[in-house]
Amino acid sequence: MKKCRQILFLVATLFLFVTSTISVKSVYAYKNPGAPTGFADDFAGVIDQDSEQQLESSLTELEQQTGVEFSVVTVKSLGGDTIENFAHSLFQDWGIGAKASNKGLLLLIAIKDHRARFEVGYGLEGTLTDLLTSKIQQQYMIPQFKAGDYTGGIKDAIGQVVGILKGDVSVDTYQTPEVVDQPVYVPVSIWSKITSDFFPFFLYLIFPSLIFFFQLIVYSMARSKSYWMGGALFGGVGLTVTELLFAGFSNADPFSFFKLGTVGLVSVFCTCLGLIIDYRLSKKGVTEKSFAEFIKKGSAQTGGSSIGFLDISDSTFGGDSSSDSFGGFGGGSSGGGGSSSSW
Amino acid sequence: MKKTILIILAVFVIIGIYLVGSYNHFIGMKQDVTSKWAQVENQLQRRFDLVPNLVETVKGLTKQEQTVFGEIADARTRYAGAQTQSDKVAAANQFESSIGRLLVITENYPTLESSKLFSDLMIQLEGTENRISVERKNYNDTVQVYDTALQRFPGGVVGRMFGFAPAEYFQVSSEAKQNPQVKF
Repeated sequence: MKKCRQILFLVATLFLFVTSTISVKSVYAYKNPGAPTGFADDFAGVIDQDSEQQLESSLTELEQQTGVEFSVVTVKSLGGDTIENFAHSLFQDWGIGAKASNKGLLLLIAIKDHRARFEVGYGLEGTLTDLLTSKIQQQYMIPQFKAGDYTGGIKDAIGQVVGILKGDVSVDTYQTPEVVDQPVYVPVSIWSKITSDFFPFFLYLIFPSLIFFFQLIVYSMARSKSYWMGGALFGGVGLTVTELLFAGFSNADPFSFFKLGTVGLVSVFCTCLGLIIDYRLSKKGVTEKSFAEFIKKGSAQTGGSSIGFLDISDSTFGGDSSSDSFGGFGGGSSGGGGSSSSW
Repeated sequence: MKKTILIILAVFVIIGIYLVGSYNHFIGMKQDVTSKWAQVENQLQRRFDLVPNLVETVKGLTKQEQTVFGEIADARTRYAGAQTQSDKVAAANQFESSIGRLLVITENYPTLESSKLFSDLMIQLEGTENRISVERKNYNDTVQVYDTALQRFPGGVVGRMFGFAPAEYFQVSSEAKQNPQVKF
């Protein structure tokens, strides 16, 4: 009795796991330099300790005052990628900026490639235009970089940007007549939001009910004196699940030897399993009362566990919060705004 | 007897839940494709608004290059009149290649390169091009997810049953693949 409930739960969990991991991820030439440890991440090792701490505290203060997440990253090399692609990929990977406001900003500096870029999140495109970021780089950063003074250039450029964001520095000093109005970011429509929010809810709904029906089937298996039905049912479920698994994971040839072999093996295994379960259940016999109790226990157990299971995926959205003061980035996006420069 | 009815009922309920879930999933993906396309159009429009300024700046100095100005104006009109998505893509690609040609021409005029207004416009154009490529990639990624889901078994069968049609990728024409480069 207990065993069969565990098996059912295992099948359901497996199913849940499979559906939650199916996703398509494209591959870039870009390689993630690592997890962010703060607002300033000096992977190339060109900023001295004191300055890095100063930067960190001024960027933390900026975040507290204006809600803007400004990440400064130095890397040794872009690994053959363009700085535009690298900066955008890194921005998206780290999710710089709060998810709702998209007020994120990334200053990426690739030392060996002699390239730098401001990548501006959707929420800041109006404040920091491409032209403005380009002028800040040309006036405050590139001259120092040319002289080999990375710390000085980074500090000056960040000082300007922080000043603009806080409203201390007037943008007019750059004399930038904007020719085009900034387009407004079109947020994802309400309906698609609802459906994506609905999906986990759907999982909550479908799994308890699936499990419930499994239990009903097991119950009827137990009531019947025959053994064959459990085998047939379990075999069918095994076949369907493996078939779905293959459909979800690969676009490979549907009649490949590997696939047919796996599906066959799993089906045979499930059939045997079902036969054994049915045999044991039928021998023991189930009464109405014990069945009701069985359902009650089963759904309580599976319900609680599946909630815990879904919570795991929620916590992956935020950054890693292990470091003492830095709480990770908020999951913001950029649309490729900003400008690049070289020295 | 009771048992058989119970099992049949269970099977139908499971199939029903699956169908509803699949349908909603496809609606969500389709909606995602639409919103990503809107973002692409947004950025294309930004470029269409920006380039006339660039043309104005360049025109005075490069009077003899009338053909390229004609091409740009022509592509712009074509885009404005485009009804379908593939027409829009074609017009945008034509526009992109004529801008590329214009930029090659401007390299022959050193006075332009040192002009402040011109370099400002070029920075904006570069930013816009980058935005377009980002949104185009986002769009193509969403289309890939959606189209793959439509071709998979068994979800795709359900999707096609409900009348979901595959979406088109935004393919860049081969001559437009080279992005304009700004040199300082």
